[in-house]
Amino acid sequence: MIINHPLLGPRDASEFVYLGDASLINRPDPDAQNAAELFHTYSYERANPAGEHRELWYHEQGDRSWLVVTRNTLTHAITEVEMARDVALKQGRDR
Amino acid sequence: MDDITLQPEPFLGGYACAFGDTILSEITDMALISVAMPLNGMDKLQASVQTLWGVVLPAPGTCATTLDGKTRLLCQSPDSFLALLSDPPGPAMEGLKGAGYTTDQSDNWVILRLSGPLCLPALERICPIDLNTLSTDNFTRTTMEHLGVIILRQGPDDVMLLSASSSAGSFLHAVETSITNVKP
Repeated sequence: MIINHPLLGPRDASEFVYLGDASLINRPDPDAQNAAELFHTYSYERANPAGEHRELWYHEQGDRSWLVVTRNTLTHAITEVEMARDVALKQGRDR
Repeated sequence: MDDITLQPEPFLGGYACAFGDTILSEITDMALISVAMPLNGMDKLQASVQTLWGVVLPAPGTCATTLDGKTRLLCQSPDSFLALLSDPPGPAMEGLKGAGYTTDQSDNWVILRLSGPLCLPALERICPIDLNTLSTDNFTRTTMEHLGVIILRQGPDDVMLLSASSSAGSFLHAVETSITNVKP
């Protein structure tokens, strides 16, 4: 499987480590009233779709960047690759 | 008490070997420092790098070389650089004046130079990158036989390979074996 890195071009998946659902970027507010419930959902509940899935990959044997990869779990076709940093910034995070 | 003096030893004992016209050797006279950019510190780091080395901060996957050719600055990711130096690392680390977080990495990396006609045929067997797309004076970071490596292309048939010093022997074995396998 080839992941088209936004900065470095096409790279073999063996250079990457898979983390999982890209929703992990959205860590809940630990000061929220229902923080325990939010963190339970954040830690354990996954949609696990059969189809398009946004997921985090770490380029461990490359530039050590985190990527958000949109991959079809049925076909492994990758339709989009973004820097996780850019995704987080778009969502209003400061880094 | 005895006065003890420690002498530094190259990781591979200053290895050098010729395979026909192809030469594989350990580079022992270079230093390496990592430079991490502080958050929102691009302008300050750029100014310091310009003053110290007279180069513009390179983009990820590319490198900048000083006019005297003694220093190469490799940009690994948007906020992380490696400086490959022909001089001792101390003055460079001080010269950045805190604009980047620096660490002397010289003891963490082994550096091999591979040059000659078997260079690319040997590497393409153990490296997942298409090295034909890697132009001279550029570099990339990848794996060879599961070992992390930085490949810096110095010419059409001339590369510098940097890998972890802790597995220097295994890395040398992987490259040597591949050269032997493609040797006519």
